[in-house]
Amino acid sequence: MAGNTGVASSKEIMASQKQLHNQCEKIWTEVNQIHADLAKEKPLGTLSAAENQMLEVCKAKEKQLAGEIHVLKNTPLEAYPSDANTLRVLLQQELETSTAQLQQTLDIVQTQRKELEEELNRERSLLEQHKDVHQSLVQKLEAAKDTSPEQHNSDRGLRDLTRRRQRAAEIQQELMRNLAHFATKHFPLPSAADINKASKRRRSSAESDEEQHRYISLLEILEVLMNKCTDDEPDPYITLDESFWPPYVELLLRCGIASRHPQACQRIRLVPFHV
Amino acid sequence: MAFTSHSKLPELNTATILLVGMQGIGKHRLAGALLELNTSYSLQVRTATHLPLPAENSESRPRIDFVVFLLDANNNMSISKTVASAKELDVSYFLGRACFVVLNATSESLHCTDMSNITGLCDAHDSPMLCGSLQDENQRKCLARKLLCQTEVSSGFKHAVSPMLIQATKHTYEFMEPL
Repeated sequence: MAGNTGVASSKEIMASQKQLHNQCEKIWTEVNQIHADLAKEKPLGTLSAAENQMLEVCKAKEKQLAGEIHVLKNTPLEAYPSDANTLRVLLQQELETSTAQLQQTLDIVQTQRKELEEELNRERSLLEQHKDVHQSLVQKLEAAKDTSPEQHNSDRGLRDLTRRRQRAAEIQQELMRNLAHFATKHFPLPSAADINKASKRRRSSAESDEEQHRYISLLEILEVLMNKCTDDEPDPYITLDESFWPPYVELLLRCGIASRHPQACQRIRLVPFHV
Repeated sequence: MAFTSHSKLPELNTATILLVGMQGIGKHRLAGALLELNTSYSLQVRTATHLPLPAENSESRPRIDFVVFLLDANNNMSISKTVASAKELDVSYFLGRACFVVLNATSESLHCTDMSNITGLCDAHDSPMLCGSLQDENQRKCLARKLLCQTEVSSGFKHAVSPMLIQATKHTYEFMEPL
């Protein structure tokens, strides 16, 4: 305490110390006196005999509170000590502690400020990025608006394609009709005479009557061949059975419209003209 | 004669805690945790299995600033002993200088009595109740810190704060409106 008072002489310090010591002594004698008085009082006692413990405790508390309020009301306010040296030391100490505390606060505030600045910079860069994104999006939107007429063009192209496909379908139908007309006109179902002529060598006429009904026309043969060729690309061969009139099959093979399977003579296919 | 909170003169910069609890409840573990805490004053911890304290050493015994009742919710004997001990304590301690510590309050299936009996005991003495455990070191430390906080008030180390002030501001003195 003495070292802090630079201006006070050692004699003054001694006097202050003695005064403080005297004060302490006085307080201690007071405490002793109060204690002696208290010892004369009857103690509050224990709760072993009490009927309602809570009531007893609350009564004691009420008394204590009343006493404390009384003391608070009747003690004069304690100001700083009257001695100049003690006062100076006390104030200096208080100043030092408050300075230290303020220093700490300043440090913390500075750190927080730095953190906030960093965060601000981060947020700013984020804002820049968002602005860029916004601009590019706006540009894209503009571009999309400009290209919308082209989209109409593509619609027109689609309509054009649809129309051409319809036309192709019409042409194909026409061709098919022509083919059917040609085939039915020039290659009719074999008559009974033809069958008899062809099978005279090995079959009786009784059998041939039944067989005649089972033959299919050239047009049907062509249809089967074409469907098989387009629907089943990996295996375009059809197997010949008794419903195919052999002369017509021979005709197709000779003209180069159909070809036999290299390994199985019973299977033929349409020559792939479309490939 | 039973001791009271003012029967002896205080010592300089000293606080004394009395732990009351049955044998094997962990008084010494709690005392160790209390003494491990860093305090600017010298802390003394005394232990007792029950109250009242024996008369023979009462002259050399320091002033007790704070009384802690330790009880185990899973142990019927510890509860009944605490009830008996609390009756022997001077009423002056129940003015904010005593508290109850309930151990194993969380394992409800093992309780040997209803929890309302224990809270009723604390309410009857109008004293704070702390729940805690002494198994884990962290829990011990936490409990010790809470107890020390109250001890500092009752020893007068907190300037201008009396234990009665804490007690008086603990409740809200509002009467419920009748339904």
